[in-house]
Amino acid sequence: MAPLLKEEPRADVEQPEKISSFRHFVRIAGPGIISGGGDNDPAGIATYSKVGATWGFAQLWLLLLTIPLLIAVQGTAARLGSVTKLGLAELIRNEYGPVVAMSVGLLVVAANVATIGADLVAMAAVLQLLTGFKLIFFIVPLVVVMGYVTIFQNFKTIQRLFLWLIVIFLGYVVAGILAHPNWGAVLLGTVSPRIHFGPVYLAGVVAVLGTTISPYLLFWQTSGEREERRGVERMADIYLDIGSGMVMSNFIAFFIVVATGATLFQHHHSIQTAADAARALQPVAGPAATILFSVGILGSGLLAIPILSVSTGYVVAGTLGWPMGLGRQALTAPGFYSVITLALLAGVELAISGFSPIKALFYSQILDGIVMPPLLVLTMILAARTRLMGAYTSSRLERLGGWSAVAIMTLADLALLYNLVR
Amino acid sequence: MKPKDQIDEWWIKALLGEAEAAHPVFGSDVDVSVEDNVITLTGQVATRDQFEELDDEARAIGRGREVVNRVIVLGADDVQHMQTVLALFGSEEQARLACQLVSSSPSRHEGPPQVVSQPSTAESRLKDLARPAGVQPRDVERVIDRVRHGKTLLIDRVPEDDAFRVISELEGTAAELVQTLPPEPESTE
Repeated sequence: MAPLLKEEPRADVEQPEKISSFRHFVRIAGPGIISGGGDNDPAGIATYSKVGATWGFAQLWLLLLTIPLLIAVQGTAARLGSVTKLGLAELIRNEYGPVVAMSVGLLVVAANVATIGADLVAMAAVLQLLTGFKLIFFIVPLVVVMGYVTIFQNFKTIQRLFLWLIVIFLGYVVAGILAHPNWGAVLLGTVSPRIHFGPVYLAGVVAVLGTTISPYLLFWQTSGEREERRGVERMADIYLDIGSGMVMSNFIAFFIVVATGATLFQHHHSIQTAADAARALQPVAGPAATILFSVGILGSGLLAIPILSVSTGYVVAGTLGWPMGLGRQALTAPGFYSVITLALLAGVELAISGFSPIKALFYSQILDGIVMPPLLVLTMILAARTRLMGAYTSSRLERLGGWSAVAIMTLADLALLYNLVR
Repeated sequence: MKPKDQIDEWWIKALLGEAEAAHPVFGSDVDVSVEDNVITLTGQVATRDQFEELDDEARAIGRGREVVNRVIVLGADDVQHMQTVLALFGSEEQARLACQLVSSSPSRHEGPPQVVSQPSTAESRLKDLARPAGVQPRDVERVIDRVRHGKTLLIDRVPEDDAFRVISELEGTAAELVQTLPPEPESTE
């Protein structure tokens, strides 16, 4: 095409310098805010619902505590990606060798696939609840839609879709309000920790920590910075993105606990899955709460399952040195996209094989619980390594938050193990 | 007509080669050319946001087409530090092939990467690059050691934005190891 005529910008069209701070925020919203959305997947919603149904508001303080930890952990992962321009799996392979990379990778892949299976069943169960058709009919169509978007759309389009899905989560805030909680008790549960040392309470603590601080999000965040091409001068943008994402994530989780704590806990309802929670809400909080809760589960699955499958792609491709990235077309990164497809298919297999989704969820949380502390230790060491990071090693606050997360998660794991063995 | 419609209309004309006016927002500061299903953006904008906005427009309207964004960001908010990408290959031939691939990108402004098979050259070059990157010379020994054991090293010092692209391209080659030195705090483009 011939060069365009030289002329001044038109006065009747919005000019560049008028870009508002809101538009700036929308533009920088990326892997961080999507991580926050993906953190509340159907498995996470099940966990928060169960915590609310079992303990009422008594574990709300954990959601306050984990905000700075989450920001520090995701910020460290983002810093690694921004400085080294590599994914976490590649860094682990380069710095710790293929054996460590494969061991970590296998555990994360297994946990991701189990979570995909559990999330798929949760979404299909909600569709069954809303339509009356058997859940088995929904699993394959759901995966086809999510697989199409993930494999055939570019990173920017996927990111935009994900950002819209996050809006659906606001339904949980409304569901929480519709449940008419005792706000005084909510406040007390949030700011005044009451810790019990029984296995059930500790299992809840481990589950909440394991759900909020998940291995797959570390891989997603590190590689996400690469997809976004955010260099070291954009750390402020990165932190705004991550901070918004993590606060939003726990804000939504907070309202899920409030909704179920105010209703299911008060009425002594026992639940196992997110769909159970949606169903049980109907008689005590009304059909609107059930619908909002159900739509939230669907939206969360549509967001989380692609993130889980893409993270699995990052883990495997990074460990094996394959080309990867959602910015690439499928033909230029066949291994990466094959892993994404296989992860989705394995999730389908798990979902339709009759394997209990509750067991899949349980095993995925156990695997996440096992892999998270060592993975976090590796990540924290990498981010503090001058050889890799030069002048951009992790900040004091990142180290404080990251190592606190390691300590808290390890202690919670050990306490649970001790209680179970005893 | 709404501003967005005007911009969309302009892009459609631009893709068809029929745009007679300049971009409604950025004016003659940016040029667009289309060849073989590749949309190439050139020119300059003031900020990173504008760069992204233009990139988004091209990708949204040119669905399926490859977009090469060569627009330069002039604003002080877009500091690009220089960064060195390193890749190790089993043979010099493989490294030269990768060098050709990396150099052929239309968005590249730097000269071609350096291909090094001699350990002494690798040592002096890497130790020169380590210091501005805030890395101790001993920290690059591991890479030099592999050159001593017969590997060929590709060294590419580029602005950070390019480092993302170079790494992505090297992943599709026979590179046995791809890594970076940290961005150089004092060197900016």
